[in-house]
Amino acid sequence: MKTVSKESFLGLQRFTKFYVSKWYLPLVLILGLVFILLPNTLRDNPFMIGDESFYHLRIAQNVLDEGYVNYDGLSFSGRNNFMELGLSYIIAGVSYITKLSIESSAKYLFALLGVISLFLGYLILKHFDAKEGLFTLPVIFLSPPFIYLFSVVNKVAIPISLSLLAIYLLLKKRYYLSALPLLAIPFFNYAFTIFILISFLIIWLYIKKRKVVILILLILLLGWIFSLDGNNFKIISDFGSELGVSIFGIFILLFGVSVFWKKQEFPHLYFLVLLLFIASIKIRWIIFILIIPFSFLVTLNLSYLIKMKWESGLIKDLTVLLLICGLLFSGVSSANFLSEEGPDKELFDALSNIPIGSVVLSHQFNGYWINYAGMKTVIGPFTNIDNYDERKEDVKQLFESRDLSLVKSILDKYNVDYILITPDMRNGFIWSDDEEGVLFLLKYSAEDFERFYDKDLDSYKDVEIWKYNKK
Amino acid sequence: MGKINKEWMVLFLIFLIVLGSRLYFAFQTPFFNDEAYLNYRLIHHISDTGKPLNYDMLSYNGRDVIISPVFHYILAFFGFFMPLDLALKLIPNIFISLLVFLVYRLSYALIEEKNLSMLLALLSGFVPIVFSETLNNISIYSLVLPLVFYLLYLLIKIREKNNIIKFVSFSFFLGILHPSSFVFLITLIFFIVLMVSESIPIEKIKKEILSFSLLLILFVQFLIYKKAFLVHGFEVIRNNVPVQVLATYFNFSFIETVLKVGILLIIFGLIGIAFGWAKKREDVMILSSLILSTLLLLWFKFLKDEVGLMFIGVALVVISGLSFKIFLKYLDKTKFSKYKNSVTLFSVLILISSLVIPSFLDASKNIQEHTPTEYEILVLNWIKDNALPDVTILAPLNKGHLITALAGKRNVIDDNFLLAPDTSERFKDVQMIYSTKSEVRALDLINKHNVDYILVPIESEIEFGNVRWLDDENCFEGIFFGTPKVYKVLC
Repeated sequence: MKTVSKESFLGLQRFTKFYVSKWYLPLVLILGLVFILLPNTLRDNPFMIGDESFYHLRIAQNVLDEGYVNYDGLSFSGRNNFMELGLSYIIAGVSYITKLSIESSAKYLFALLGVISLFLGYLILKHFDAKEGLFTLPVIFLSPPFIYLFSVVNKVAIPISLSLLAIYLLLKKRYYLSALPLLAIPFFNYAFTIFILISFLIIWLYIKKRKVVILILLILLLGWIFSLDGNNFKIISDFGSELGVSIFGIFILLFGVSVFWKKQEFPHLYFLVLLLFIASIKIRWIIFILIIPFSFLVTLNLSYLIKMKWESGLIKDLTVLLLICGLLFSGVSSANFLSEEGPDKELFDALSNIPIGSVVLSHQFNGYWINYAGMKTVIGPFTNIDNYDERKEDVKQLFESRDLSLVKSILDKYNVDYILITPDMRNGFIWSDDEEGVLFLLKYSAEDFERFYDKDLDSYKDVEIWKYNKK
Repeated sequence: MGKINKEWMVLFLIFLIVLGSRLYFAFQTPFFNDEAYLNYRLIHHISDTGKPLNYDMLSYNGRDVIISPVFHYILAFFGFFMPLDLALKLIPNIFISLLVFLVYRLSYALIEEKNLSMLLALLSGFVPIVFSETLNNISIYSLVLPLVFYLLYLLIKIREKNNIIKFVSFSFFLGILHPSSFVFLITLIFFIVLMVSESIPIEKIKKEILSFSLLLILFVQFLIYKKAFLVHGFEVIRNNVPVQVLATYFNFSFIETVLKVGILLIIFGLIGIAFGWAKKREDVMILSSLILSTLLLLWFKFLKDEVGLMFIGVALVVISGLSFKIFLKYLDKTKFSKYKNSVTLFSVLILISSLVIPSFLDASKNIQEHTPTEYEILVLNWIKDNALPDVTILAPLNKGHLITALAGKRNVIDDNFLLAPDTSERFKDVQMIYSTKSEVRALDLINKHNVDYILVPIESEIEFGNVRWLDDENCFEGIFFGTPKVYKVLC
């Protein structure tokens, strides 16, 4: 009954040969590029994916039009502080050089960044001569966070590419040169810069063998992370998270935990994955970093699974095949899911009816899209603004109120012209009943509110815009 | 050779008895139970077009359908050889009657007593909840239940020739057949937990088979229900059931459970489990895992009571074999040993009647109460022939599939909840329309769901009383006044 699957072992050897062959790298880069381009290719909507991406695109357009930017006249009806501007300047620069639109420039820039990152990953693995981790690159480009990272405009992609470049230069002992990409990171993402600084501090402490200090530092860090607001438990892509790890990857990792626990191999790597996994519950973008050690461990465990002795060769082959198909399935379905993400075309169709520069009130998650369409917002996802709490409380009060005078006073306070209501807002984000809160006033106070835009007047299934008739 | 033939002939006779009893009840009506009409429609669609129904224009006024079509294709296939409606009555009853053979083999693997295994096979055919729930429902469980028990048998006998291949194939088949393969998946996890907690080593081949099956079922489920997983997330295991309906899950009444499963089965089954655990028997652990996992799923309201009790009922039949064996051995040691045959015969009669009588009573009640009446069919046929093609008919949840399958019109709600829109809200609205005294409120909801006709079955009148606002002749035109009543919405 005992059969060591010779075919599988030979298969592994064949793959190892392939890994060192000249075809491996081009194939990985091409397939990686295909997966990066997949969500936007499958998308039947001319608009980009995501919400914050629209902020960067809008600011990039401003930079392209005016050469610089120092005041945002639309967000929160005008503010003079910004997110990190590095990304917007880069997109504007690419657009200026290539003469492509801002959107196309961003799309191609991110695809290129993805390919460069894969190439850097290859160089790093090659430096370690990590034949065990030969499958890491395919596992990485099949992972949903990688697909998201390089197909949706975000401010983490460039810092990750820069970090990989810095790591490669450090490995090649080009210390001064490696400082350049590291010094560039703060222009793109402050939070990521802090992460890099902390990582370097931990590595330095590790080299100096200060394990107790590392432990105290990690406990303090975790304590701080858990004091942050909001939890993101949607960290498995197969359960509907656009930014999560594959459940089949988790299975492979759990298998590895049981095997490697006994052998005590790679404990640091498992510990790192655990830490990053916990941290990503609070800080979402950490999942982009998590996938690197995660994919490496998945690869190690897969190759271990292939090499280990099984009683049934058939079951072994089928199990390995299933796991690989599972990883592939997670990647493809995540790309497909991402292609269906917001914003809907209908939202911009609705907003196109509103005069540019009008003040639009909506849920804060619609803020970036409203600004992108050229309208001012009362509140948006950006929180670093003086009277943010006051605005948030006013908007909450307004949405929940049936008191006409209170509602009008708040609308007048922020000089609101229109109210935008999306189906999500009616389906639980704010209301769950058709006449709840301010919806009652919109429906029955025809003198003050006019139904300005709605494709289907008989139901509330589409985007609605209500005009506020100021007195 | 002759002995084998005799053994199989007796088994075949038991199979015929079980099948005959089922068909006797099933053919008492030309119609199916209300809930069967979803499968009825899906199978007819496949039979007519050759393709599964992916978008249902009638259910919920139009919605995506995400149901594995394997069972429907199997039944549609039999429609080539006989009238489809006959196949829908006959084939599911044949499938579930096959349980007799599987229970025999499983019991024999457990107790190694042919006669006792035959008795258990007979008993398995008359577990009341299984008998009534798979009688006239075109129920997918008529195939799932035998499959699950066959897989458990294969797992116990995994070292026998070709059983690995069989296990792999049938695990895959179960996975693509129905999401209740998750019950099997949880059973395997429970089995591992039980074995580890009892410090019983699991054979290497079983470890490999278990890991593979877990991955296979999960992968197949993700593949088929990808959209549902992405839309509902982890909540998909609740099947998007309205919260109000979910509240009625796991409402166990002791008397009802005893009647549905059989008191003697429960007693002997539990004794068998205790005995098996004490002896640390792996086969009992496997069967207990099924019972425990089902109980857990029932507890968390992931399973309907009836479905869970079906798995538990059959598992208890098999495990109770151990208790019977002990009982018979014990009898030999007592003064009753000289009356062993009489005592055994008496016990068997008691045992059989404790299952057969409730099964028959349940089946008869089921046929009378859950099958549409001639008048109901007449009303639905009238709607089919006389109402405009795209009208929406309001009916309570349990009548939803009748509207789409028999009247061919749109409904507001039915119990195919997965990927259906706003199930809880719709359920609340429908309940509100039947129960409210306010015509204004009712009209608001009627407009909200674009209702053109209102069907008032007797069940709604019993639950909520007369719907008084339907007497307003300016807004509603009465068409049928029996049970059910039908009104046309005018305003």
